[in-house]
Order: sequence, then structure tokens, then C-alpha cells
Amino acid sequence: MNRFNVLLNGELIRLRRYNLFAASLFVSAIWVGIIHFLNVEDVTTIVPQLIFLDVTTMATLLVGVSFIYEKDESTIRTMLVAPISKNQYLLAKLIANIIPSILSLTIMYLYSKLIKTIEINYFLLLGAVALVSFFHSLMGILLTYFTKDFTNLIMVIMLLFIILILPVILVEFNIITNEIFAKGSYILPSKAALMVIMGTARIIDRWEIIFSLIYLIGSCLVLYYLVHRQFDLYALRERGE
Amino acid sequence: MYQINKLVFRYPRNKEDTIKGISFEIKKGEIFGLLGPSGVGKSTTQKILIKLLKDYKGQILYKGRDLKSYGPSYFEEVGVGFEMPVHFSKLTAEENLNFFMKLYSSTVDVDGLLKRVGLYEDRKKRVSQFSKGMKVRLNFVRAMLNKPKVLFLDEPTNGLDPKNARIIKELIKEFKEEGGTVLLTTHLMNDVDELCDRVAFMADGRIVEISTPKDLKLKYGSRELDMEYREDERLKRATFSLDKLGDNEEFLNIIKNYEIITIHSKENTLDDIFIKVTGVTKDE
Repeated sequence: MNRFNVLLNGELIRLRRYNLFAASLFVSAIWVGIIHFLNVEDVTTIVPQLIFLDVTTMATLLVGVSFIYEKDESTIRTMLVAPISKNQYLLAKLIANIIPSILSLTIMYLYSKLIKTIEINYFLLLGAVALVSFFHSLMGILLTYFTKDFTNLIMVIMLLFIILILPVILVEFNIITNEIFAKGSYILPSKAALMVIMGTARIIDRWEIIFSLIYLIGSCLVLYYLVHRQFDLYALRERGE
Repeated sequence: MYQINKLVFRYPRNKEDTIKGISFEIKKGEIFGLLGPSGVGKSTTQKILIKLLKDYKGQILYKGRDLKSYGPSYFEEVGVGFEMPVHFSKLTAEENLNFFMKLYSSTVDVDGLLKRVGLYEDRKKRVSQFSKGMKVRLNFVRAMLNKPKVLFLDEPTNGLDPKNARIIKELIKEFKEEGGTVLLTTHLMNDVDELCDRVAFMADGRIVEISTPKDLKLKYGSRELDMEYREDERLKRATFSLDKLGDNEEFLNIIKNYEIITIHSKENTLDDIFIKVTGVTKDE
């Protein structure tokens, strides 16, 4: 097994042992409950909307918690003196963090397919979820660099939810119909994430999809650069600094 | 093994250098002690040598090659024993070691090492169930996992009972006998006395003294001898210079005619030297 696979496997084992998978499955169960009790037979639009909520919040939270655990247990230091590159370590963590999102998507999709009606290309949605989850995992790592503990992380994620995700949801569910507000939401990365996910379920202008993909991929590159650059500083910082 | 020349380091937010131009050498196969009070730059020096800190000035050569030119493969040859526990607490000791073992191309006989440090029976327990001493011993096993050529040990016996401290010290000695090189940071001067071939004392970012423990004791001790003897049922004390002791009539008279109770040369302990050369009370 090469080192990247060892790291990835280690991340997945720890997601399970630290109950992060369980937390993700619990949230998935809530989404399935919502789908079940909705008085709608065709859930083709609703499922991607729920997936958007799941991925944007859970991916940020799970990677943040995983980083905080490693910081608290100082295992991050022992990783720094192992014969692995920073890229291997970060990519293994980021890719492992996509798995709970994919699991959540699969559970919701299978339930909808078996019990309700859903007309979505699963593999297209899987690609969209992987990209959005990757982006939000990067954001989660970056947020962890600037938070002192778990409570602080939760506060920052809540703030981010209000600033980045809530406006997009309000427009998506037609709660806010103001055109300037709706157009303004395009500056938010969560809007791009929503467009990429919803593009698998309904017809969206091609330019919107292309713009959203470029926005997300570009943002991923910028975030990855920042995450990579600041990593040593974060890893060596003592707890509470 | 290592040549450190005019090493200078400043942390990004600091106004002053933490390491102020230190130069020293760590020879292959020796146990080198880096000693000094808190905040003098010992840990920073160690972090630079294990490549955790990179923006330093000066030159560090490892096996004749610039340390900066080494990639992650450097850690195939280096084992690091941190002072604080560095394990995934919700994984067992065995799972922790198995995970790290797979990252290296060659590894030690882990079961054998676990047996030596007395953790074999507990290998299937979660690390969160371990006592502090067990975590310290597991740290040592983690450091030795990759059959390193160089070991960096930070307080390797801190928190251990005398029996387990003895086992760890024996393992360090065996590592040295097999050709390994050790950089030891500790405040336990007994460990230094027992293990180190050479020591460097640091103060305010500089090396203020570097030599063998024996030479330092001679250098900072007085060349005198203290003795207690019994004369007419009374305990008496006398001090003599070690120079030409064999010609000292008074000394020879006491030796010949009185019952000697104690006799000691007045060499300093490393504790005394620590305080003397660093200029502060020992607190690390």
C-alpha cells in the first residue's frame, strides 16, 4: 500500500472511531425523515436541495472537528516527522472527508429511488457533491487555522452559514424574490455550489453551470494554496494560541 | 552526523532572535545532550533539526549535505520522541503503531519492543485508557518504529517510575551501541550523567558550554578532597588539595592513624554546573 493510501485508510478508520461517520449518518437519517414526511411524491428537486445543506455544513464541520482532534492529541506533530509530504497528508484528509458526503447522498438517493420518485443522474450528482464537499472541506481546514477550540469552530461555522449559505437558501426557496439580492448571491461560493448540485436535477442555463464550475474549481485552487501555506504554522502552534 | 554552523532563528512575530548564532557538531554514534532552562532555544534548535522550522539562517549539514536539500525521505532515518503523548486516543496502541509503521520502508520488531517496554499485554487497549507512563513508553516505541539512525528524544523518562525509566535508558544505550546517534533534551541530570557522551548548555539563544560531563565536572569543580574521620571518639573534618596529595603529610597521617568515615572528591554535579553556566535556577 503506498503512503497516500495508508493515510487515506487511516483517515477513514479515524472518522469511524471518533464517531464522525456516526454523526454524519445521524444527519442523513434526519434528511431521510424529512423526505419521508414531505407530502410530495416526486423529490427530484428536494433531494439535491437537502444534499446542498448537508454537504455545505457537514463537510466544513467534520474536517474541522477532525483537525481539532489531531491538534488536541498532538498527532499532527508526529505526522510532520513522518516520511510523507504535506500534499499527501492534506489530500488524504480532504478526500476522506468527501466520503461521508457521498454516503449521505447515496442514502438519500436510494431511499428516494425505493420509496418515492427521483429522476437524477446519480453519478453526475456524485461528481457535483465531491467538488462541493472538497471546497467546503478546504474552507473547514482554513477556518480551523483561525479558531482556538471546538466551541469557537461551531460559532464560526454558524456565522458562515448565516453569511454564505442562508442568503442562497432564501433565494432558492423563493423566500426572498428581490432581483438585486438574487443576482448579488452569485458572488457567494455557496451559490455556485447550489448551481452545480441543482444542475443535475433541473434545467439551468449552461453559462450558470460553467461559471459555477470555474468559480468552485478556482476557489478550490486558491483555498488549497492558503491551506498548504499556513499548515506548518498551524501545526506547530500550541493549543489555545 | 550533524554540523551546525552559525545557526540563527527568529520566530515570525518576535523582535529578537531565539537562536543567536550557535555552532556545534553531533558526532555519529554519540549521545548528545542539549540542556538549559526554559525558553533558551533548546526546543527551537531541535525543531530546526527535525525540519519543523525551516526559515533559519546559517548552515546545517546532515551527513555532509545541506539539511534543506532533504525531502520527506529524511524521516526514514530519523525518529522523534516528543515529550507530550502523540497518539490517536481512540485507537489501540497496536492500531496506532500499525498505522505509522506502514508509512516507513523498514521497521523494527514492534512486538519485541512492546515486550521490552512492558506494553505488549496492553497493546489492544485504547490509548485513552493508558496511564501517563504508558503513553511515554508508547512515545518511545513510536520514535523507534522506523529503525532510525538518529533519535531525537525530549524528556524520554519524564513521568516514568524508576524501573521503566531504567528500561528506556537501557534501550537508548543499546541504540547507541548499535551505531545510532541521539540528541537528548532533558532536565533530569541523572539521565544526562548516565547517558550523554557530550553535553551543550544553552542560555539566551547561545551555547555557553559544550564538553563531556566528566570534563565539565572537573572544570567547574574544585580540585579538593573532603574527608571525615574519627579522632578520640570525635568526628572531625578536613579538606586537602588533590595536587601532590601523596606528599601531604597531614593527609597521610590521618589515613594511617585514624578511622576514615567518609572521603569525597569535590567535583561538581551537573545540577550545580547547570545553575552555574546558565546563570538561572534549573526549571526545565
